[in-house]
Amino acid sequence: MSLLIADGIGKSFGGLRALAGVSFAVDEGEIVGLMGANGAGKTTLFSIIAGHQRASEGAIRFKGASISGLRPDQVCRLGIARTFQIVRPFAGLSARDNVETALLFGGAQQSASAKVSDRAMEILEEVGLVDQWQKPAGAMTLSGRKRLEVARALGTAPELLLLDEVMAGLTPAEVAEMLETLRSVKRGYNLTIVIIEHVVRALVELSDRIIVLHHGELIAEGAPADIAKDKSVRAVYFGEEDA
Amino acid sequence: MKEITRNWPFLGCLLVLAGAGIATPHLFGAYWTLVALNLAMWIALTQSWTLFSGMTGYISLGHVVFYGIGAYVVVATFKTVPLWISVPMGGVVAALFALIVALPVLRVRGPYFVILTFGVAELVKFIILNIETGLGKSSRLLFGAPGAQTLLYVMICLAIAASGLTLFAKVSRFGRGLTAIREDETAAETVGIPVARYKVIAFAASAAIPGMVGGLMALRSTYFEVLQVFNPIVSFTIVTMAIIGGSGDARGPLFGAAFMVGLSELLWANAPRLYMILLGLFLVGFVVFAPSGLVGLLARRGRETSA
Ligand SMILES: Nc1ncnc2c1ncn2[C@@H]1O[C@H](COP(=O)(O)OP(=O)(O)OP(=O)(O)O)[C@@H](O)[C@H]1O
Ligand SMILES: [Mg+2]
Repeated sequence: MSLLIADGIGKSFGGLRALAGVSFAVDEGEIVGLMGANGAGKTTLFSIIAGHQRASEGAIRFKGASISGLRPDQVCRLGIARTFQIVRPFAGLSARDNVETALLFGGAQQSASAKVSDRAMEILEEVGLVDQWQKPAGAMTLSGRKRLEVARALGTAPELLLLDEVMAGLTPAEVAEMLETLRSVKRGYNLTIVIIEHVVRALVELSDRIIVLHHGELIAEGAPADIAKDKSVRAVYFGEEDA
Repeated sequence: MKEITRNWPFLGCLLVLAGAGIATPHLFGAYWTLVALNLAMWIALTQSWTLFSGMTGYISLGHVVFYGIGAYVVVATFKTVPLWISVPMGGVVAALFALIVALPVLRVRGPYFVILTFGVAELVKFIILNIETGLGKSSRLLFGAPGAQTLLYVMICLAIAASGLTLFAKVSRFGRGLTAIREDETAAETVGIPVARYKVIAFAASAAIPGMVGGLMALRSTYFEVLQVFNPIVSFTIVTMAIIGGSGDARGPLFGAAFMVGLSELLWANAPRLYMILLGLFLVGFVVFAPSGLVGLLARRGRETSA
């Protein structure tokens, strides 16, 4: 069964058409890669799914029910978590408090305080931040804050995880680590993932399927190997990348 | 509960203060009773302010509006409604007013919110001023109000209630939500916090006790003048005390209020100009050099000496 369905999503910002007629489905347990050049509309699509922005047209369905028009906190409690491309940690709080906040309010809605701390530490362990649990999030490196985005998203106990460029700006070694982390949490939490990434190799390696956006339209969809060979994709995407 | 008991130094300090306040009328006489009343009042107001502004980062520069509304409720119903009803009612009306203005007002952040709260307070001041003028009452005299000792005891209860509320908010799940809102509102709603509802509840909660404080203080001064109970200086003083104390949690207001009431006792009568100058200097000094206030300074001293 499809966990998430986007049905004809369109979005305009004034005269600018950021998305037009974008339709796709994500099955339970899949990892779907979302590709596209700068400004293609990838982040906007995430914002619409997570409730931060309203679609101008179309509807989003999650587990069969429409979630269009819900607030972000409602979408979160239904089981969709997103990370931010431009990280938004609770900068003044420790890494552990960041994750605890997600545990207290997300889909998990944990209440017993001792258990929340333990659970937060487990999650930090999984993303490789456990030795920095006391550090204020604002004092972490970019790599640390990207990991914290993932940890906080996991804290809300999601079924669907939307990852927006969690590997951008990381060194190749850090990218490799992040890939490992994502694979293991995917297994451990039985997650479905949609991931935006400019690091094409990482995306091809990780995804079961790839969707390509170009100027707000979905121009290709398929297995990673096929996408890499697709002529239109090469022209509009890899062409730009190489130039 | 564990978090509450972990705050035993704070609770102990609060109890000692309350005990001293209760003993004051018997031991030190009328003048010091009024000083104690003053201190209890500022603690109650600054704690309430911290509950909302300290925790969410939405700086209210209009908290006098709740104080004024509470005062007006008590004065307008004086001799028709018994005080044990009208004073709490002042708190309820203030909280309801907060609920009504919260939705439009809490849409804006940062400097706009600061200005807006100030503006709302001024607006209400002039509306009530017009009502009173229309009724032909430029000021009202209140005969037969309770004495300073009674007011002090009730005020101490309010100060304790406000401190307890702020402490509870800090350690509760609710407070975690407010703190997340202060840190990053968008991220807060992304992890499931119903941001709008939390802000509105906190805003109303931080209005209730100032409403009751205003009612009590109207009784204290035995005459009522709109311009006086809606004086923006009250709002400024609350913010100053919160900043000097350190506005992060329930400890700050105790220090801030005690510090400023002490300073004013030392200087106000003899050197009012010096008092105002020092106040300005302290405010600037704390904002620039010690943004976490007296609590922050003391904590740092504590760490240095124990290290
Ligand atoms: N709030 C907004 N107001 C106006 N225009 C916007 C807004 N958000 C995005 N846009 C525009 O919509 C288009 C799509 O932006 P979006 O951020 O979704 O792209 P993206 O695919 O995530 O790009 P990137 O790879 O750079 O992150 C861009 O042209 C962007 O300038
Ligand atoms: Mg983007």
